Amino acid sequence: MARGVGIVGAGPGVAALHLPTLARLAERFRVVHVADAGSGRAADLAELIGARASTGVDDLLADPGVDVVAICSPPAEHAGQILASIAAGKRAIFCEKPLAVTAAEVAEVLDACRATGTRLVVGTNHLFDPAWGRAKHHLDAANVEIRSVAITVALPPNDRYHAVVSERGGTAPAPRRPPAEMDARIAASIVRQLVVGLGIHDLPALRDLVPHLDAVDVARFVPPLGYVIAARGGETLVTLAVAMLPAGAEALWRVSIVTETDRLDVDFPPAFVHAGSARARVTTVDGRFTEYQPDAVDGYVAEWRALADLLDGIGVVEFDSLEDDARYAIGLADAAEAAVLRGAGVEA
Amino acid sequence: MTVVVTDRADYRIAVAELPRSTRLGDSAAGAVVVVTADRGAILAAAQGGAAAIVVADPNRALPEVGAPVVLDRALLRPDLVAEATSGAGVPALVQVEASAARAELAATLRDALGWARVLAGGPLRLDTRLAVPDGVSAVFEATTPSGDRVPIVLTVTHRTGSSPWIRALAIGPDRCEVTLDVARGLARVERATEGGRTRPAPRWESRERLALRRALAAIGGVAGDDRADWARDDALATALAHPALG
Repeated sequence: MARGVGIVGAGPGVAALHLPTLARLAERFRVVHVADAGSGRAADLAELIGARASTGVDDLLADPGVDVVAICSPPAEHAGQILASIAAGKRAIFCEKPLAVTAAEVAEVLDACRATGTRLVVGTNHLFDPAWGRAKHHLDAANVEIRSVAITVALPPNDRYHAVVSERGGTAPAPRRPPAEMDARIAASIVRQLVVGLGIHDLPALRDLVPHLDAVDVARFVPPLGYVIAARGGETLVTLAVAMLPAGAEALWRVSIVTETDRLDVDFPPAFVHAGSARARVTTVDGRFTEYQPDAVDGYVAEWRALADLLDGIGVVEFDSLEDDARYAIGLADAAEAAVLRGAGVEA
Repeated sequence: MTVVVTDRADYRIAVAELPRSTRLGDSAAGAVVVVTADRGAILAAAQGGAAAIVVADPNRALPEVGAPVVLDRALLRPDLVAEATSGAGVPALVQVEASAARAELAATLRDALGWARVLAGGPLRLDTRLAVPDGVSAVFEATTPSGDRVPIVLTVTHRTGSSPWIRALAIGPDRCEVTLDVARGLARVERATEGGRTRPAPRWESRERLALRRALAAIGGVAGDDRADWARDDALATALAHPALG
């Protein structure tokens, strides 16, 4: 029997991501309620799928048809809405990444989930991507030192990907871009938000490879909207290069890993689309090249399946791992913010 | 027909592939002289009256000489550079990864820095350097002729037994990715635009033949001199000095 899902949030991440994803899992989930924060978009979306709509979270949390709360609101709202869901008696939560934006929030929400036995999945879709599992297995089996990890993200506007999985209603607001020259504190704050909100896609995977970052040596804001970060963890160099662009080439989303013996590239598909798993390629030190066969399942479907399995009693919530992932991301974001300020000669 | 003076087998083959414009000879006077990264040999060629000097696999500071100098850098072919820069806009950022075995790491780093400079569109200034036992990362900033500032992040690592590898990526609305992978025989430029990806036809000409053609062009006053760019890349490589880099 399909479980009822109440979605908190009605932005593009719901219209173009979670509704199409849940349509692929119709035997396990059915969206019964959509709530917005006052934009009116929830009613529009809900009408399209025959669900109920409301504003704020109270009505959705009081809806007895909601078995699963999907939190797809802005990141700063996540922790409070998880706690409100638990307080309302809901025991199954899908939370879009990030889980929370401060370490204190992470502790609070996970303590509440642990205490109540709440099934929780955080939508770190790259971590759920089957190709990442293969890449990680390859590295684990090789048991070699990782020399470097380079994460590259180059993103055009999302509209083109929304357009292939949904139909937009109304007029989308033009994306806001910060000015090229700005105060260092603003730049640092933007970098922090980008790490927590965008870089988070790959940070649990990065933690798989580099469990502890010793230092973020440098971080810079990159116009029009992006960052570069260079860090060290043990004997591994980590670089992150991210650019959100106003137009142009298709999305590039790559994790490049150089080990003592191999080079691995994991190229993730663009956000929103359902084109199977990432592409994982390995080049050995002597030039042999292997490309793993992609899996039909993508990370978005896989993360919702993981929640369905938990609700069916398959597997357990790895709270410690979720906590470590969240703390890792927040720690990196904080360190990057500090590094931007340090680079600009501004006291944190 | 221009005389080429060389004792390198690969350049003798290149002469054979330029049968109407070059021939082998012994006298430096008026000739293209091919030397292998040897300061003394470069000076001797210049003093011998060479019309142009080709330095194969340069690996150290080059002396000042009057003759035009063409550098044959293994992983920075000028024809690929031209492909990578043709019609390119100012990127938002440039990312470069490189690795090689210790013996080839310094040259690989210099060529990786060359690609960073080329793709960023201007000379680099070192911002921050960080190191681990087997590699170095660095963040640079390039200033383009139009005054745009482009951040660059580069990582170079040592890997035992590895052939040289460079991947350089210019990220903007259009992207340009350059891959040099000796083990796989790859030397390619790929462009990505909103319309899709394009990959120019492979360059089948040997790098030695290309260097000789450039030397002939330099004699004719057509081609430029590679020394200034080399000096910039070499200075930055020195600034990144680390035991892992040899």
